[in-house]
Amino acid sequence: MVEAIDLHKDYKIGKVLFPALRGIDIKIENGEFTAIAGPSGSGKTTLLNIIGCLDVPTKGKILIDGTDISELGSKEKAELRKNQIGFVFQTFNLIPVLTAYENVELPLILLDMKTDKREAKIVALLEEVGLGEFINRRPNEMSGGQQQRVAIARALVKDPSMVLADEPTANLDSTTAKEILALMQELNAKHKTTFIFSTHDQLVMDYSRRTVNLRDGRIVEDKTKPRGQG
Amino acid sequence: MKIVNIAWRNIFRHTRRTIITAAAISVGLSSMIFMNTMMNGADKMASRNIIDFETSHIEIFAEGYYREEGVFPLDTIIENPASITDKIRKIPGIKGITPRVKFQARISDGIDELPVLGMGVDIENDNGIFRIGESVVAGAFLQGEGDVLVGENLASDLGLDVGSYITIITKDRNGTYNAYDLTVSGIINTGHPLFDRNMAIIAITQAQDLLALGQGVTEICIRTNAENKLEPLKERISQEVGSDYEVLTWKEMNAAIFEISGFKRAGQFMIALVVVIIAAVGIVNTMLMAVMERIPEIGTLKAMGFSNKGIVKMFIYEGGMIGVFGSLLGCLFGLLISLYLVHVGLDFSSVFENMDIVYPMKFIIKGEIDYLNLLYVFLFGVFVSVLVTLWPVRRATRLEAVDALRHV
Amino acid sequence: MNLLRLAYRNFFRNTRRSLISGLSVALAITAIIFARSYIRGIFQNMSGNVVKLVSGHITITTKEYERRERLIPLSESFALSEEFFKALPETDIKLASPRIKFGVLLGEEELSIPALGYAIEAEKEREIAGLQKRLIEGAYIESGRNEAILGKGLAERLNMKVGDTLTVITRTAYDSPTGLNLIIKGIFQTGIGGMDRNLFYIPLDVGQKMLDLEGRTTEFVILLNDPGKALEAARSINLGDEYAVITYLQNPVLRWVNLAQAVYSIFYIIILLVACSAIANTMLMIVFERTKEIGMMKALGLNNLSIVGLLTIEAAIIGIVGSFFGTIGGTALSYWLKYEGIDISMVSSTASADMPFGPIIYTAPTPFIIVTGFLLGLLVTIIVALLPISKATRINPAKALKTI
Repeated sequence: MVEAIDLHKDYKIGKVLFPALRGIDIKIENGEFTAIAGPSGSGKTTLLNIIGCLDVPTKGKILIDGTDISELGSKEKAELRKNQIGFVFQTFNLIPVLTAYENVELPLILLDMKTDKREAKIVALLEEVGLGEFINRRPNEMSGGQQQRVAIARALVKDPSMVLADEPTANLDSTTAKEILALMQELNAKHKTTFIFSTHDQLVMDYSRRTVNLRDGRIVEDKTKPRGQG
Repeated sequence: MKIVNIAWRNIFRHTRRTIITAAAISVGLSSMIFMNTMMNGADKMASRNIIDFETSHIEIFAEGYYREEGVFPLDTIIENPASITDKIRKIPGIKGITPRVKFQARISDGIDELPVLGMGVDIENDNGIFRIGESVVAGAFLQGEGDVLVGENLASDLGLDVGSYITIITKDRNGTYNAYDLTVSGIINTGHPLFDRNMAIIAITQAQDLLALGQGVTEICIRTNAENKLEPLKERISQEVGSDYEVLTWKEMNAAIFEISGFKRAGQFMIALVVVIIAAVGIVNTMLMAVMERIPEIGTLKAMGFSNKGIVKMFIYEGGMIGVFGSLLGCLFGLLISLYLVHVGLDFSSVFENMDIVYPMKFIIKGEIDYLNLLYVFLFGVFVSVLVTLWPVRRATRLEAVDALRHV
Repeated sequence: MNLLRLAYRNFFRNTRRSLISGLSVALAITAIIFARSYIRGIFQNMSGNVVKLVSGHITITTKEYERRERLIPLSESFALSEEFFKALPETDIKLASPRIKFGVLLGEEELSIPALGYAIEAEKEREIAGLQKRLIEGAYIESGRNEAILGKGLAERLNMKVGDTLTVITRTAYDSPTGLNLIIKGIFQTGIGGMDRNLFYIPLDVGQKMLDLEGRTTEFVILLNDPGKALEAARSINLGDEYAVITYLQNPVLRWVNLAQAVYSIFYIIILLVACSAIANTMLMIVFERTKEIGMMKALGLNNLSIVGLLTIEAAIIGIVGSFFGTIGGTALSYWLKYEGIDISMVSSTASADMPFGPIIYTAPTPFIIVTGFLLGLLVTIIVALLPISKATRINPAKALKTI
């Protein structure tokens, strides 16, 4: 479970103090499929970064499974990211010199998993995201949708407790975006992994059960669709 | 390991850039190798000339004789060379022993007179120690008293031929002027300027006569079996002959020449070093670009939990690989030029014509490859490449993942 | 003008990269200016001494003497007649004076050291040939007196000092033995080992008398105000077939100096090329990362020439910045060491023995070296940059704009 309590974050841009988050209180249960929505500049990415231990809040607390992560050192946070959190980015951010297989392999190498154990897992997961035939392709030999599938596989391969996706469909056409969202939903259901993603795309909100709307660093709406919908 | 793999692929992301950077290193290193080969070759030729014609490996003088290059006093000589020779003959490691007499003289063809260095050699023994016999290009080696060998250049200066008559004039050890008429029995071409321009070689008995030395000689020359390990042998001989005699190796007698060569080496090494430093700046530039353009990538890796160490490693491997590539190329190129120098050589002889150069060699320089040096140069190239990579990479480690990801 | 401003701003888009590329040029130019000044310092010392003390800009002698020069044949002398002086060129002459070279064996008793004596017109050569300036001990020689000045190395070899008597034994032009006792008046040092170890000077009249050469000489030396006119002046000397007129350009030492300087210029080129690898890489990257921007500019109607111009100006700014700092560095270093000198005795303890130069080397920078250093840096930068820049002309705007 992720819990944010009175989360504030200020950025200094030049000499101007820019408040990105102005008091966020939110609880996300394990296994949830949650969209954080809002126009650009509303604080979505900042919130995700703080949840993902990439950034620190100016004020407030963030608890992951009861642990206050703002009290962790940078090494412990790196450890936490390595073990518990998967990331999916708007621009895919695959390592261009590595094949699909190798990109997915990278987190497992960091976890010191043995080669033989690795292989089965990666191949299975790449099959699952529909890239069975593209195992040995490099990013520049794949379409945007395929690249994002690799990125999702990369995020999921270490069996994290949550996957954070920052605008995962922003660089994709609507058909591909739908496919990616469907895939994430499917994986969420199957692996019971928490998915939190930011978006300003109506399509994404349609797919998510819970949508948290941000405006100017505050939550303006938090609605959960009843089960069976979406 | 995987990081090596990533680094390896990264160097091919901008193949052209990698090649240019590596080429710069290789130019620096190959110029280092080139200079080393050249200097080694020059040193080796000088050493060979000195050993094969002038000093052999070890020489024994009467204590106080050896003062300075180019001075040949007759007041301190070895009066009884036979006793010395008998004492040391049994020492293991000695290949041959021959006495010599060196003296300041003038030779005259009846019109012109020229100061030369006179040298009396043991006709039977000398060719077992030195290679003067092999250098006779016209006529024959000394047959007996009354014969003289002159160098090619000296012969042409005085217009001498085999069979020509010359007079040798010198002061004997009592200060009396003596002169002998001699017949040129042969003309030598040794490659050692002193011998080719300035030397008149006669039978040792005749020299002793001319200088009123009796049985005395100025030096005893010893050829050994171990050219590079002369110190123990020198010690042994020293003990054997006692403190009335001075024992010197060829290296000790020619320290100045090798010091000049050391100075030249230092100078040329500096030039090559500057080239390598400038090439290193090129590596910094390339690695800085590599870091800058991969900032989002570094962010991704950090978000995934990559430690700074892993990222630094990745870039160092990358810089190191460019270094290895450039160094290999440099060594290969350097080796090729060196091989050319070894087999063909550089011919400076037309430029150095008529010049009395202190370096005892002719100016067709042939290279001599030092393979160990090749290895050092290679390691140096890799070391420098890795070292200078540290600075741009430090930037990568300072980046926070959030900032790196935001960077486009 | 707009292009220039744009290029200027582009320089600061990645200041660090621009500066590093400039740094490699700066280092190269510093190294080149310093090396040229250093080498010129060595050679200037060498050729200056050789010209002033030995050969002059023009040497007049007889053909026969020239042929047998190594034997120093005093019999091949010529008369210093009125006719002879008439044949000399009239303008630009700094010094025109006979010099008689003679070989001797020096030393007490059995210690016989070969040396080379020069009989010179003492007063005339005093300032012009710079012998006075090179004295490190004692005083200068005077005509008509049995006096000599010795090179430092020669004095050491003879173990003699100022005030000692030097016995010279040689042969006259007619091959009869002759000798003289000379007072050592002074000791000079040129910094050139070979000269300091072998040369001594005596007054001309004393030498002529000793060698039986009164009113005659074996060599006649001319120093010009403008060495560049040596050939011209030599050609104007018309003495007849038996004379040889030799300019300093034919001197083997000076020819060697020229060759060595040419050989070193290969290193300058290598240094520059290596330095330019950084520029080439930077321009390569600039073209690469601005593909979209260049495409956009083309779409806006800029032609290839303007784009190449823009990028070339950017490279030129790097070249100018680099060359500028390099020139400052090289100039400062060279001028500092021009007065300070570099003590190479640290590297070689016997530096003075056989080196063709002294233990302290003074660099000799000239404005020419500095200006050409700057221009070379700039020029090579631009030339090297043009190759990657030319790639920009091949960018297709439509394609370039589509890429992310």
